[in-house]
Amino acid sequence: MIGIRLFNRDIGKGGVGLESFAEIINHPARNLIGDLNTEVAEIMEMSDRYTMFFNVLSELPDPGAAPLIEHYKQELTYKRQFLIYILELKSDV
Amino acid sequence: MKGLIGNKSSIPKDQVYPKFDSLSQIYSQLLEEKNLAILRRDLFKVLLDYKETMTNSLSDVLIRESKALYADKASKLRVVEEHIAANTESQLVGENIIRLMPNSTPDFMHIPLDFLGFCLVNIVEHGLLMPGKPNLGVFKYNEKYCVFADQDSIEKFVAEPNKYLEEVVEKCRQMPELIHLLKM
Repeated sequence: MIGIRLFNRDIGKGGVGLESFAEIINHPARNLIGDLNTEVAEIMEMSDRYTMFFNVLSELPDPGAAPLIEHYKQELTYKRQFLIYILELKSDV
Repeated sequence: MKGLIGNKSSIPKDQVYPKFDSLSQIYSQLLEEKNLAILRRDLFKVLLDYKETMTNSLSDVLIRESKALYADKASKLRVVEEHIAANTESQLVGENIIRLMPNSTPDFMHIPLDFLGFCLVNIVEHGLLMPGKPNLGVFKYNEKYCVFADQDSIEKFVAEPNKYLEEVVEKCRQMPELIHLLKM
């Protein structure tokens, strides 16, 4: 039924209310993969900074007080958590 | 289809109906895909709201100092780790613990790592998510495949594997955000 209506729409004799193929293909959500890739790159770079910090923590002259370091850990966990959700969404896309 | 139908007033059903049917299926699939994409974009927007609450307290000075120290340390460690990866065979390293090495394990790159590839010892002892290094080996114990950030962590795990596997569960109770992250 939809096939006949699409054909009629294409020849200008009906199919009112049906979206065209062009409208469906060029919808705004089409750029989602690009946006997700940008987020992944940004968060990975942020996480890497924290990972580097913890890798050399004992060698830093003044890494900060213990509560602050604990806070850095939580910030890293939050970033990892966010990254996992973004990557899961990306794998669906 | 335009060529098939043209200006004809009637066409045999068996010629046009399969084509209308294919067209309909393609259209419906595209529409479904578009609707899914819109849902995913909405979900992405929700996630971005959470990003707004993300803080970055690590100062530029600390980032710069860490980078400089790490660059030197990482290049030395890389040489050692590559040597270990190339020259160590898979072997039993503790009670029921098998150290799987890249050069002697088929499909090494496809081993499904537990705890999302983060170092189990760092999680348990410091609540810290540090990436494990498969070059140092993947440690199989009780159907768990674990990786570690350094040699010290490996030695701690090999000495008391049950302690770490039990305590990681406790750690997840204290830090529920780890449950999904570590695929517990």
